Amino acid sequence: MRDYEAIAPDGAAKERTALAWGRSAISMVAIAASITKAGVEAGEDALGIASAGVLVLVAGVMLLIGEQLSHRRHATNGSLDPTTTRAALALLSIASVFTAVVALVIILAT
Amino acid sequence: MSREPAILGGVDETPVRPQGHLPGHPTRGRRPDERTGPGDEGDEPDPRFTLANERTFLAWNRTALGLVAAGAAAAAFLRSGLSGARLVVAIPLIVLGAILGLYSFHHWDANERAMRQGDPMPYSGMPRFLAYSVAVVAVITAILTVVDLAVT
Repeated sequence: MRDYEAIAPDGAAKERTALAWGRSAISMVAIAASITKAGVEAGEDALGIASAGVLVLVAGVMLLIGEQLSHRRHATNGSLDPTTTRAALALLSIASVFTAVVALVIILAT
Repeated sequence: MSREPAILGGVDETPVRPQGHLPGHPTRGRRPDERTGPGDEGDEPDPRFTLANERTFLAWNRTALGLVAAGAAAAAFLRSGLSGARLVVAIPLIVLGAILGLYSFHHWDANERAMRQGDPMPYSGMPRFLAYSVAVVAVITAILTVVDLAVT
C-alpha cells in the first residue's frame, strides 16, 4: 500500500486553503455586483459604482493575500508566522464589516 | 523543559520563567491586562489543523458576505405595497452579516489559542444563533408577502 503521508503530508490542505481564499474573493466580487445593482435600482448610480469599485479592489487584495500566504507556506512546508496570518485574517474581517456598512449606507440613503 | 531542581552541586541552573512572562520571550514581562496574539503563547500546532482553522474562518466570512449580499438584493428587488417592508427584511440580514464578519475572526483566534495551549476547542453558540436568525427573517418575509398579497 502506498504511503500517502509521504506523498502528500498535509492532505492537500494548503491547496484547499488557497482555493478557499479564492472563493472568498469571488464572493466579494459578487457582492460588489449586488451592491452596484442595488444602487442603480435606487437611482444612486455614482454611490453604487464607487462602492463596487472599492469592493472589487478589496477582492483583489484578498486574492493577493491568499496567494502570498500560500506561496510562503509552500516555502516553509505549511508552517507560517501566526502574526502574519492574524493580520491577514483581521484585515478580511474588517473588510466584511466595511462591506456591510457600505450596503447599509446605500440602502438607507435611497 | 524540566524544572526539577538540580541535585549535583545543589544549584538549579534551569531557567525559571517568572510568572506572567511570555514563552519564547524570557525577558519580556506581560502586563496583567495585555492580550497577546496566538503566536506568543503555547506550541505551534500541526499545520493541517492551523489550515483547517483558517478555512473555517473563511467559510464563516463567506457566510457573512452572503448575508450582506442577500440583504442588498432584498433591498433592491423586493417590491411591496407596504412601506418599509424591504428594509425590515434587508437590514437584519446586513447587520447579521456584520456580526458574523467580526465573529469569524474572534472564533479563529479562540480556536488558535486553544490548539496552541492544548485546551479543548471552545464551544460556539453562533451556528444556533445564525440558524434561528435566518429562520426568523424567513418567517417575517413570508408574513410580509402574505400581508402584501392580502392588501393588494
